[in-house]
Amino acid sequence: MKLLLRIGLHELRRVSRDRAFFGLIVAFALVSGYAAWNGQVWSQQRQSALAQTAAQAEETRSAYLEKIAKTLRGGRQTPTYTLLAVGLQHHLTLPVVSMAPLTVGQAEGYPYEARFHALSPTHDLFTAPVHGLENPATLAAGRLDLAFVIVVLLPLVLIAGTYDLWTAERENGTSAFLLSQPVSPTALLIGKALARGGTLLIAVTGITVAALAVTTTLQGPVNSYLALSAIVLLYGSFWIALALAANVLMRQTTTTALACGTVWLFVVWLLPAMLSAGLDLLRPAPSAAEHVNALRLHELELRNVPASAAVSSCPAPGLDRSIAARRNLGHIESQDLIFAPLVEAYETQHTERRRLAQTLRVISAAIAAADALERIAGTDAERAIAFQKQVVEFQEQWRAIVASRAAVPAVLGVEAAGHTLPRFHFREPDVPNETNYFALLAALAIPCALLAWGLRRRALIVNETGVDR
Amino acid sequence: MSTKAWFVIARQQTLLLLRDRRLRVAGIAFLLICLAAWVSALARNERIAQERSAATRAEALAWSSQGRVDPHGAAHFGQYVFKPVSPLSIFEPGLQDQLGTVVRLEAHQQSPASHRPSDAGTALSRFSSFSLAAALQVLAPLLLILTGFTTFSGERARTLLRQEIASGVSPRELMLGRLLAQAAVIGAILSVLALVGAATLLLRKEALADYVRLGGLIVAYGLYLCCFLAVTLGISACCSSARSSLAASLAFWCCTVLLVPRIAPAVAAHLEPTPSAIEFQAAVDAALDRAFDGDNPRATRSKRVKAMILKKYGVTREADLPVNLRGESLQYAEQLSTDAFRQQYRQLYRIYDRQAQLERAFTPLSLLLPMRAWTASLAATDFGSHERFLAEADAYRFQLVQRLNDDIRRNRPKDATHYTNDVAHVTADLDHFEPSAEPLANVWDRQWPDAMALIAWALVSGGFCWLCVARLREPS
Repeated sequence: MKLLLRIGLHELRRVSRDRAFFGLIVAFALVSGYAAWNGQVWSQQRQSALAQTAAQAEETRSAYLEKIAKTLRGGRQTPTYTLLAVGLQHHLTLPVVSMAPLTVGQAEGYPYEARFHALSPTHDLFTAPVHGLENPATLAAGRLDLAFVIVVLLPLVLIAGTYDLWTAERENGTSAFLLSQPVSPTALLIGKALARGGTLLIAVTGITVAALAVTTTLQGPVNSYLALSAIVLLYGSFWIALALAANVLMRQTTTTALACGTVWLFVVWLLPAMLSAGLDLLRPAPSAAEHVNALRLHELELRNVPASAAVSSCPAPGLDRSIAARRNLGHIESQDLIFAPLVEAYETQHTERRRLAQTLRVISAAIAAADALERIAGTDAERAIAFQKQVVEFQEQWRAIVASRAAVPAVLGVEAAGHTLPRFHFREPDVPNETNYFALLAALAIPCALLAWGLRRRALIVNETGVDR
Repeated sequence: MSTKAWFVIARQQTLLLLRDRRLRVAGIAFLLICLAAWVSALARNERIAQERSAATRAEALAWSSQGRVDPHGAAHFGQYVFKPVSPLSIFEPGLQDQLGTVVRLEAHQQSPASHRPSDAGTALSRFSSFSLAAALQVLAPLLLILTGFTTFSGERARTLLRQEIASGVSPRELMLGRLLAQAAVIGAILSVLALVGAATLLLRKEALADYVRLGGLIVAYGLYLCCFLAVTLGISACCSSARSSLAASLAFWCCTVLLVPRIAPAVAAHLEPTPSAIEFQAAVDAALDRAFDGDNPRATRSKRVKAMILKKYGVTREADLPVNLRGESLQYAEQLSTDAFRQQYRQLYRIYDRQAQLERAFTPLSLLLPMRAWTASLAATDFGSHERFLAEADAYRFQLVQRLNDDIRRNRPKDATHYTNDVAHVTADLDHFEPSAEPLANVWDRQWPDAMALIAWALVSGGFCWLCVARLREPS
């Protein structure tokens, strides 16, 4: 241990004289700062959009309650059915969490808002084009957020700082001298890696966490910052381990740099791209065109149902029949029942595709890290899907109210004051984060095994020959 | 003499490159990646094309099987059109995954395209897709750097460069010969891709214009890769060691391929913000209100429209009108709402245009920016092509809705019953929606600054390479 410390301290002294090392850290800090700011801008834009929706929702609700109050003041026994059923349009939104500046994640690929009333067809809740105005070119280019910096650029910084950890000694001719000392090669390598790679990793981890802390004004939960640090440390360790393995296996600094660069390209670009192509082949996304047409044919069938059938099933005689006939609860629910298998089949295909994609993330540490970061930022797919499910549940809740009031045509009474009418509050999904860290760790296992093998081989060579080849 | 010298150098360099085992492996791996990307894109496009073709037939069937209905009800039932797949998207998917694929055509409403392939993704979707374009735009430059960074710097470090120059070869000849040798490798790879591309187009019986577009793509990739080659060799000529040459070349790649292409759109979107969906909807509502004389309540509006129609036909009572008032009103309203929607979408798309112009300001920092824009437009997978598709779809929507409204206008029910007709018969003489291919002249009008930027990059990188020749005489 004492030996390891001495090696580490010696390496640290060397690092402190390396201007390129500090240049790397400064460059990383600048890019991280910009990325965090960029994420913050996106997060503020989303929050502003949500605030606009909330204002609209409040306006709608006030107008609705005013309408009820007006009818009550008029002393009329207004049937509540119509008012409850189609009188109030709900505006539900998926809130942005305080850690959102970390990454945009999947937030632009899922609806974050739903507008509907109690009798809107369930399959139509998220089809309004409220989330697709962003310039497609900007979406295609990808966001430069902290997650991009961590997943794509951080490995490059770590590789740049550690690629010549041992091969430089070989090229300088000092490796033979070092190995002739009473120091085990493993301790030497680990000590150097810990000093140089560890310093760099701690610095970049601190920078990313600080950048996020500044942009979020420390409003995120402490657990999230700790989780972020853990992910950056784990992911960074993976790359340092790889660089170390390359140092042990290669002889020249240039070759080591090339090998590390190739692995980076493979893990960060080629492997995810191939997995994406594989996913498309194994579980292609369900055909939107087919789905649209299937819904349409059913819609046509329903349109041909005589209007009298709808009127006859109107729940409360004496209601506003023109609306009730068209938007009768029973009629809408029977429609939903007809559409349900189609929607379910379509959703199942999406779910299976997502499930396979989630399984594939363990193959690449980059995907696993990106996934874990999205979960911390609350911009992951599962949270967006939980929002969709909760919206459907909320609509069901309203439909239950409509159904209960439909049976007895009466004024709203206490409900008119808006006290008992349900309001939507998004419940954060209870997804165990441990599984994601496990996925990340699984992705780390392969290169770590490679490293262990490399060190063993190297140690054997040294032990057998006594000299560095 | 000098011509012969550079030719000999080029030949020797080509032989060296071919004999280099690492390069052979890298070249084969690259071609395999290209092949895999081509096969997967081909399979995907084939599947999508079949799906959309079947959906178009099913849609036509749904429309024609409506029977006798209120034509305006049919206009609300609407139609769906499905965006066709560009044949060259196999080579350059461009914005294909970020653009909607289905457009609903209905009365009073211009809808954007929905169902983007990038929707409903996972963390995996954040990474680049596997495509020939990505291989050529991201991977190929990196391979060029990895094979070219030691060209002069390595020889200088091993003192071979001094010997070569001492043998009577001028530095310019050295540079030209090596540049040509590596350019020949690029040419060979692009020739293979051109042949594969042409064969694909031939098998699919695509139009002649697509071959021209493919030619444009290949030339653009040639220029793009030659720029990287020239910069790499220039850096190699300037650097005293292979290590510094590699670091500088990788920094250039990182900046031009990784960082600036992400920073530029973010800055552009910051300086020229895209309105949120809510802001856009509010603007549309306001435009519709203005179009319909918004200060007036709906009932007053209807009265005003009725009075206007009565005046147009020179009568004072609805019963004296030679046409159905409802149909005439609907036609009038459709015209107003269509104009309002088109104006709002035009404004939105002009914001995208201004963002693209702002992105162009970053062209001197990133070669990929003009390259990406130019190749996507040639492959008809850029936003310009998509906007053209949307405009054509909306023109068709307007024609369809107005045809149905016109049917109501021309038919006054004799009693109080609601007018109905066989909508398939009413719209029988309307051709099915078939988006037209964009003329190449349009592409040029839209993207010529990117083509010029690409040429400028080629000239500047060539000039840089040439200037660096002088450094070859300098000792390490």
